[in-house]
Amino acid sequence: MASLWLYLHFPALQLDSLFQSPHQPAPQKLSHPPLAAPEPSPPPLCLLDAGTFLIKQLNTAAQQQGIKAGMTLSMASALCHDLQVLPYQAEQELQYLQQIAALLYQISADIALDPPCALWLRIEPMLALYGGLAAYLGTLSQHITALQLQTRMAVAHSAAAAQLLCFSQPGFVSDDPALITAALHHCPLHHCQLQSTGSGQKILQQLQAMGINSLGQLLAIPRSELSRRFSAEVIIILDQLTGDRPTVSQFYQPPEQFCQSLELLYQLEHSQQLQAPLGYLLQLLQNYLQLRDQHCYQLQLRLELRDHPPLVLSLQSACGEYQQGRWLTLFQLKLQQLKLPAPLLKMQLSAGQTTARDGDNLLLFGARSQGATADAGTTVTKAEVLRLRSLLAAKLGAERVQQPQLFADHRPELANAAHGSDLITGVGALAANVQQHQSNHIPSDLQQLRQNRLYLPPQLQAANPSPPVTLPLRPGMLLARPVPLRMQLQLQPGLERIQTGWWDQNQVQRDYYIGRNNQGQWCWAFKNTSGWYLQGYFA
Amino acid sequence: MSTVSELKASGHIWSLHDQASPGTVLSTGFAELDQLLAGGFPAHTVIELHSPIGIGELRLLLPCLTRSQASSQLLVLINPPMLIGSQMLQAAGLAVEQVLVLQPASAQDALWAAEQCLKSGCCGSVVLWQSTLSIAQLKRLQLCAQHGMASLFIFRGQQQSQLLLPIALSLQVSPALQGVKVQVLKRRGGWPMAPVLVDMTARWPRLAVQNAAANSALVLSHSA
Repeated sequence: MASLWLYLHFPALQLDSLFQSPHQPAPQKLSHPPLAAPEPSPPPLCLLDAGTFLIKQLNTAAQQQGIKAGMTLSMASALCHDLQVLPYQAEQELQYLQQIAALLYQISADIALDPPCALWLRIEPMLALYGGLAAYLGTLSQHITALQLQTRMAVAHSAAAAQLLCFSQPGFVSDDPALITAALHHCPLHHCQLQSTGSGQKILQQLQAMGINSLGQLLAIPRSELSRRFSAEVIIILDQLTGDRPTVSQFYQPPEQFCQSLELLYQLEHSQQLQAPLGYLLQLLQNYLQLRDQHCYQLQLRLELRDHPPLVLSLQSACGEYQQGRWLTLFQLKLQQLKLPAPLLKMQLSAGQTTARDGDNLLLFGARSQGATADAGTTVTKAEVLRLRSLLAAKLGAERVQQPQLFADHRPELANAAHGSDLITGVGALAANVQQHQSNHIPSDLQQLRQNRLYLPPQLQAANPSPPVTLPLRPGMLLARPVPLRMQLQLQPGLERIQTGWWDQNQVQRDYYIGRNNQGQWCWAFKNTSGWYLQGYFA
Repeated sequence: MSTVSELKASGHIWSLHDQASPGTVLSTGFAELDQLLAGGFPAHTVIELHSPIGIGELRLLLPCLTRSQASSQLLVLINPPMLIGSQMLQAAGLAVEQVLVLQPASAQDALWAAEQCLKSGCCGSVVLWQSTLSIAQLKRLQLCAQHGMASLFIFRGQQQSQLLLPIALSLQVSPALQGVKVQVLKRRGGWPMAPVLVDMTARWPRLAVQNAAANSALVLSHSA
């Protein structure tokens, strides 16, 4: 089967994307009167190439005023006095083009970028899947119309020919070889790739002087004749047009990691205003993850500020999320505490680690039906618990959400130490990616002791409502560190000696007593060589 | 007559036969207390306890907390005045990995966290240490508790001379030799009763003075 290429050109990509993305109220930003008309038509708008001072892209309103692409700014402003001018940014356009490629990658396998504003799609392998060109183009146009962009396309047997057809006869769509050849033969040469280079323009002039204006005339001349008269450039272009020489060397590959940035047209000063653009980025993330059936545990938001080092917010979710709404709630909590030190120019969202999603085992009829008591066999899904923990950690800070831990040590300070709950280790899904810094605030001896963690299966604990006999009596509330005892205690009979830690630097020898003070508090106190200390209360 | 019906309508007075049957109750695990509270703590609501720290007030709740942690629900402790002893939790039969301790920076955050935990539906009970509470905050917490079917226990320190809140149950806990003395300050659908002594000798024999005269070893601090 002969190869078939589709060239997709977006003549006003950057301009259209301004109006299209949900976060950019472009008409308002351009001081357009908000209550002008019930259906306000956009003002004449154009993008100016800062290098050449020529009009690069323009909208229909500007076209109606007689402005054309390639005009100088002075001429354009003479034609239309209220013309709005914005700078043309090639990188932004390229980024948007990549987004389109990522979107179309779902329906077409081979996509090549033609920067700054066009795409090649090699469609002949896809036709068998879609069952014909018409069906394929139907699916394609569904996706493209959703983008609300000005689009031109053409189909031909080679990438270069499709491009040429798109410029000379936009909208030419056919897979009939005879029709394509006929259309190509009528193509005027000045739409050809030759136009773009200086030497190519000279060749074009030469050809025109010879009376050769269309591609058909050029193709009729034998190659040997052409190569004698003209440089190799012409031969290369002809080879590309006929498909003997490939035009496209590299096809689009979707990025391994999600990383999207958004340049704001206006500077944001309040963190609350961040929500709308952030929601847009999160929507992109959701699309990205949904297509891959993945979710991610950690996001990083990088905020680039004016005259200020960038701010990086990182956010974790214990259960792994992909939905925009859930991430947005977490971010809102984080943003409430954020005060922007300088106006915001640009934001970048990147997803660190994404993993395959295993189905959320949500209960069909709500977690707990009304009227059911706590011990009537209702269960709580793990995802719910993790979601709550993510929520709390996002608002309060991960170090303020603590998980009591048990360590196999007789020293009460070590046995009972609670530590900031590490959300990701809590899941156990990304154990390899544990952040080491979380453990920095825990004394080093404690870290060693972590390996000796007590393990008691939860069923065993839950099944024993009465305290097991073997466990010693320990207070419910402990002081962060023992303080010298400064009260009278009425001691209970019996003492407990704890003598341990001779292997590390924390050797203790203490005689523990239980006592009651004048206020009726039950104290846990110990005596060592240096005196009496209070350790905690049996609250 | 009309004044009475007005007062009735506004909920300031109620008569015994109007009172709907008490909702579900959670047994406290102490027979004396269950009897005092007509079955136990009212379920899925806010309960306040006025108590000094360290007299056994947490132990008073432990049986109830342990039971409500069943079916893999969380127990959340918010803003405890000291470090919570994991060994004690374990000894009480609580699953330590199903306990969260939150240390929010402000009272506002603590209330927010309590609301979230109650609402989430995955917490059996939440214990909050917070002295001040407004009526609006209490109402919010009550709604959350009802929605998430969880119980909130608030430890509020010594009772201040302030207006009693529209709360389901308010208890005053004071120290006693064999356990704690519990007085009901307010109970919805109940009436004033004499304080009872909750005897904890059976559960914690070492935390009860058996014979006050027998062992009176006094310890003085070094600085005194």
